[in-house]
Amino acid sequence: MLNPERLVLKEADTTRVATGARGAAVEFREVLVLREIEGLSYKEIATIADIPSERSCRGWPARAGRLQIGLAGPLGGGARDDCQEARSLLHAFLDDELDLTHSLDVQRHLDTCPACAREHSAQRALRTALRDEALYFRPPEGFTARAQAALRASAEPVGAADRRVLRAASRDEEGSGCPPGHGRRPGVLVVTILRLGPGAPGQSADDLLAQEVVASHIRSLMPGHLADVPSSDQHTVKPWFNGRLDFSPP
Amino acid sequence: MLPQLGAAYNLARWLTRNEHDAQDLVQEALLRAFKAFHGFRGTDPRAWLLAIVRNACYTWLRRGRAQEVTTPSTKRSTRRTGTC
Repeated sequence: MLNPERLVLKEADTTRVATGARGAAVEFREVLVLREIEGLSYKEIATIADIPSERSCRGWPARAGRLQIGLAGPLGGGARDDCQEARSLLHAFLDDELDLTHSLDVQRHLDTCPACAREHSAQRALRTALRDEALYFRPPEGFTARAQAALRASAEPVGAADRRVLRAASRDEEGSGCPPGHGRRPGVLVVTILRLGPGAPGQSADDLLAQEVVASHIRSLMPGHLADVPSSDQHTVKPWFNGRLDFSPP
Repeated sequence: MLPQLGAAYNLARWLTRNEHDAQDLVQEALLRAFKAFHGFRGTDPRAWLLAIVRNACYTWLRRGRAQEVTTPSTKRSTRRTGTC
C-alpha cells in the first residue's frame, strides 16, 4: 500500500528536500544546515546559535524537514505504550548518542513496532537526502581571493597607523629635551598625558578624552576587571566568554 | 580561518537565501573576526567564526524585516500622490 508519506519518502529527491529546507523558518534552517549539511555536533550548534541547552535543538532539522516536506501531522501507529519513549529517543539513536542500554531498547522496539520502524527509516532517508552534495553551497569562483584581498586591505591601514604612532613615540623618546607641544600627533598626545599623569592643570577637551581613555585602559588591566560583562545571567555570560567576541551577541 | 570559508559561506547562503548578500555578510564577518581574533580564547575557531557569521545574518535579516514593514506604506503614499 502506498500512502502519501511513503510516496514522498520514495521520491525524497534532493530538489524536493532542498525546496522544503529552504522554506523552513530561519531558526530551523540554521540547525538544519549546521547539523545535517555541515555535520556539526549539537554541542557545537548550541554554542554557535546561542542556545542554552544542546538538548533543546535535537530533532529540529527533522522537524523542519518534516513540516516542509509535507509529512506534518501525526504518523500512523504509535498506539503502543512504549512508542512515546522510543520516539523521544529516536533522534539521539540516529545520532549514535545513546548509551548501550537505551540504544538496545530502541533497537528492540524498532524491530517489533512497524510504525516506529517506518518513522526511523523516514528520518534516515531525510538525512541522506540532506547530506546530498547538491545542497552544499560552495563559495563562487574567486570569492576566496576577494575575501583574502579585503582582509589584507583592512589589515594594511591598521599596521601603517601603528607603525606611525610607534615612530612618533620613539621620536618623542629621543628628543625628550624638546619643548612640550613639539610634534603633536595623537600617539604623542597619549604618551605626553601618560608622562604628565592625570590632573595636570589647563586641560583641554582632548586632554580630558585622552585621560579618560588611559584611565579606562588602566582600569581594564586591574585584576578582576579584565572583562566586564553586563549581566549576571549565566546564559548570557557563558557564550560571551566562549566566543570572545568584540560585541555582546543579541 | 580561511579554510572555514566554505562552511561560513554555506551557512550564510542558507540563512539569507541569497548569493550576493551571503558573500557580503561572510566578508563582513571575516573582517570582524579578523579584528577580534587576538581576543579569541576558545578552542574551536570554526564554531567561533560561524557564530559571527550567524549573528551577522540575523542582524541582516532583522534589518530586512524592518524595511519590509516600512516599504508598503511608502509605496502607497507615492501612489496616492501620483494619482492626485
